[in-house]
Amino acid sequence: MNAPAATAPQVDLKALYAGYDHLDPPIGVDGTPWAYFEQFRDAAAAEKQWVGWSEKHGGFWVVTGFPECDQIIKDVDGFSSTGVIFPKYAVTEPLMLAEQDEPEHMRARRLVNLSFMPRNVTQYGEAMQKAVHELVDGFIEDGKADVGRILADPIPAIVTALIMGLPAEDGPLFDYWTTAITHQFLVDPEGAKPKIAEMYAYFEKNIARRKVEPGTDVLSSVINAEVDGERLTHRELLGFSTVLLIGGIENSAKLIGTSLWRLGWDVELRRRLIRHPDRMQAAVDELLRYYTPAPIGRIVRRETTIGGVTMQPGQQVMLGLPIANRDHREFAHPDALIIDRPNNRHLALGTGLHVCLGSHLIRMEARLVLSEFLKRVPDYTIDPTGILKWTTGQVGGMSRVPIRFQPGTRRGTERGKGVDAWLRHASRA
Amino acid sequence: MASITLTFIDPTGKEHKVEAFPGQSVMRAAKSAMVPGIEAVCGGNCICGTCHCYIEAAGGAALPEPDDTEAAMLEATPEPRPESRLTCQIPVTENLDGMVLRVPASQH
Repeated sequence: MNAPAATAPQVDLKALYAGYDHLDPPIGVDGTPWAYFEQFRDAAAAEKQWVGWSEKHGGFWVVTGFPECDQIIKDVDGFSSTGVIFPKYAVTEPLMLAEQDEPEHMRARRLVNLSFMPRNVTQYGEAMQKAVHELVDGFIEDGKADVGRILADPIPAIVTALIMGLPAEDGPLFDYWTTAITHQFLVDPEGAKPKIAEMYAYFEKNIARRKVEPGTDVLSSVINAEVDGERLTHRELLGFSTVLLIGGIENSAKLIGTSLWRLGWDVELRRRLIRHPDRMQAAVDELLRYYTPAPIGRIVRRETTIGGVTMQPGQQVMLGLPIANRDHREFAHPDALIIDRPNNRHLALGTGLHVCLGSHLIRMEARLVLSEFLKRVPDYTIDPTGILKWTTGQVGGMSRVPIRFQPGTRRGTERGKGVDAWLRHASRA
Repeated sequence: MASITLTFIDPTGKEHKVEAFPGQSVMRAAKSAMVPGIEAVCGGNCICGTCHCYIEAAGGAALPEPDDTEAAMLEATPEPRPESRLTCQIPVTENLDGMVLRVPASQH
């Protein structure tokens, strides 16, 4: 029942692999790349060929099957994380944790892990909720809004400022720098460089300040964390700040944006989540599986045969997690969004030693934003006259989500500086 | 050396008697015997919470309390209970003989 239909249209799987570019998947008539990902999965399943060679970006292996991706992620000796992102982001400091291998990775991970456990991230819940309501106040009387730009984008930037102990009104700067690192450098590296230098200077200043006046934020606790007498070096702290920015903002914004788009037309799902708010947590995980925002890369360290293909040391590998998380060998009815899916072992946040450090934070963030938003705007539709936009790149998702709804009333809570700065930023953009 | 036997009750209710050795963790003993439901994807580094079990009977051992890291991870498991432990954080000692552990329905 879950196997792909035997009558699937003939496609040239080898050509699909050869043309696979994780930064630029083809967008279908629904405005998303999901028809392409599903077609790719069906073709791979039909030929039982879950690994293939792409000619893009200097050539690399593409892995589309769930067990194959799972095996590679867990094999930290056979596959290096130094190739987690390619082409590489335009940063001069290595991306702490994400690009590190053992034993350096585990040493750093143990220093920061506790700060990202639920007991430590729940302290930000109240501030997150407040920011959602302030942002909603900004458009609730209008009866229309682009909730990609005005809700999904700002919340992760505001949260990142909170957890790093940075001024909330600097949120728009983070957006500006992240865009320079993740998108602009591909098309205009010279234009991106000064922005990235500016970001490092900003972090230098912040780290120096936190060393003298530690706060209760995550960055302060990381600066002062000690395991077996070891602390993070200054360069590592810079790399860590960058990782928090890139990892914290892009993935969360895309997950929230895509979810708001889905809830805009999936009335049944929306009604169900309004009636059963306790299902929101599981729904967020299913949305992560169903619309997995990002693939992850590796570099082969030891000759390894996976899915019938022998990979040689030094070769690049891209784990096509958006496709692998729709593998029928792991997930029953993979193309159905089932919020009560039992034992949902999706790989959207990785697994094994490198499992996403912010996994509890992103789950809480998405749950709170969606729940609070639905309390204010329980009934809305996608605005057919507006422009939907799926942003591609290393991290993909809906970034422009125009909606219409019955105007409501403001709660009138005083607007925080973070939200204020963001609204000014958005009105200029 | 007296042998140490641990009993794991898997999510289907089936019992698995596992021989364990001092120096390994309870998680390693379970993985060696391929007890269903013990995933331990991080390999014993206390960062994934997928070797979670409920201690039903502690054998002759008084287990030391979980440290901060383990306690924080346990809170992140789907259904934590007072008798929850991460098996990667329990070193096998001779007085664990007879310990009974229940594997939760899901580690996610």
